Amino acid sequence: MAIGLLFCIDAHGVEITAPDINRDSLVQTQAREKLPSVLEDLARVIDGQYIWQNFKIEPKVKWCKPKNALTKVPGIVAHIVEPNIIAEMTREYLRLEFLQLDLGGKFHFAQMGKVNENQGAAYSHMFRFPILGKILKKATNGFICFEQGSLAVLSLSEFDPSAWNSVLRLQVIPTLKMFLNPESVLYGVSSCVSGIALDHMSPDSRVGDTGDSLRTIIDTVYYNVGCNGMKTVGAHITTNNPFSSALTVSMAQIDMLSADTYFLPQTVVSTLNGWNDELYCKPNIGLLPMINSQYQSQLLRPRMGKPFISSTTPAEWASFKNDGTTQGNSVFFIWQKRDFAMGAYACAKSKD
Amino acid sequence: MSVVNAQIHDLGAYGNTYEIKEKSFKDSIKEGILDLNVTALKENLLKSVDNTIMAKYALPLSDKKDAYIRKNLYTVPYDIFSLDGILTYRKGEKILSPMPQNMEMSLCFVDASYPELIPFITAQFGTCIYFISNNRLDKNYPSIMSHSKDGRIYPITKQYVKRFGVERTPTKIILKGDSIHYLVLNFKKMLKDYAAGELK
Repeated sequence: MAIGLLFCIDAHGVEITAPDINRDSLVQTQAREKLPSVLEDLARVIDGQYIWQNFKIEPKVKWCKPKNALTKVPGIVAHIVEPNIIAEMTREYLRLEFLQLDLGGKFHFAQMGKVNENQGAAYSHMFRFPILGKILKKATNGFICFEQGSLAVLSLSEFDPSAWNSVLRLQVIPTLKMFLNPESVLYGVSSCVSGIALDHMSPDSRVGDTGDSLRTIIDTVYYNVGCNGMKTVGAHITTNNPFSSALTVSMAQIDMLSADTYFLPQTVVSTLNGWNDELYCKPNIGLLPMINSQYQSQLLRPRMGKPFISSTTPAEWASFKNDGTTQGNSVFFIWQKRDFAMGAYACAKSKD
Repeated sequence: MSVVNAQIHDLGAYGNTYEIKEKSFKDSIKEGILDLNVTALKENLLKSVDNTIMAKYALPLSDKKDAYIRKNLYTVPYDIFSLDGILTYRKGEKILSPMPQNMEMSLCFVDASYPELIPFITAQFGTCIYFISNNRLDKNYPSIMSHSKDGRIYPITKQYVKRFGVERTPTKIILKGDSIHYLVLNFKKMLKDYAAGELK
């Protein structure tokens, strides 16, 4: 069965090795002409090596019981990443930076005024944008699953008072208090080192060593964003580096969405969910802190960067990217990793 | 020596071979991006933003005035372990969440489906962080703006209702010490009095 499945993958044209990148291919030229700038960025991202590099198959079989089925069916353990969330940080009220839309004027919020930058605040927006599920409805034939859904709002910090008020955020999620101590800085060092090590493991070397020990560290100290320190308590800018702040704020928002709402499912097996084997069969929808190793972040605006595991923010993550064109506003792609049993996973159905 | 350097360049093909009919994964992605309907994407997003701005999460309207105090308890939603692997908070455990010393915070939850009643509510609630439901956030609510603690209006969400145990509107809660002080107004009576021209 396992060999049969592997043949199927090959027959469906899935390229396991990384292809050469031709940045000026005809398709991309057409994309530039036809699509607005955000989709142009998207075409560049998806045409890159990242998905291919991170698509892995392990010589392991997991058994899953599909819905309405009488018996379990086998699937081969595989891992894939996909761009799933757009996160952005802007200085203007209801400005959607990634679509270059100013909604502040459209919705007549003028009376609410602007952010007081002296207080170091800005607006954080999160959107669900499962683009691969949208454009690959049939191409994967159920062997690879992508998130489904439309472009929609996950959170707008304009409408959450705890974004400005740390005391209120600590009341909404009181368990965050346990991270407010000097030791958290030390945890950040371990998270940073582990994240970098994991990120620098080449795909080949992950055969046999899937980096579970490193992932355990970055997931255990989940309120750290690796080399960037701690996630913020609210949406306050914490440093003079707009991208660094945007990252810590965005990760804090993902943590809040994971821990306090049911918007973000768990898609990876982690120490935080007790290495739950059922996640190989279907995503788990339940409250849990953000699983750092489930997400990877990639700076998209003002200049595109490379995706890094959420716990990894080395210098090159944002260096030479701030050309001033967005006045400190920034947009990220948040990539989501999925552990799944290929051929047996309960893929979400497209609603379109 | 020649044996060591020998290489096989072509093993040949035996039996039937078939052309792969399916498109490559990579080409499918490229084509999919080109076919995306950008206008529809933007419209969907604007609709989604609009849904957020239309504060829809409604609570029952109060039919009696009430004031009571509860402990500020938070129900831990998942097991939390410390770094040494010890279970620090158990799922379902209720923990006290006191405010910082000498500090209190007021949150007011108001049904805005009758905007004409809002001035009477804000007059009783005073300065507060205001949450509304059943109306658009981008409408003009001068009495809320003049009483708003941070000059903003927020939508009532399940997250806040559940966390602070708000059961009906209009309710003001004051987070103080390790307790939550609740003040609930009799909305239905206010509505009746307003209709009769007796509300002052």
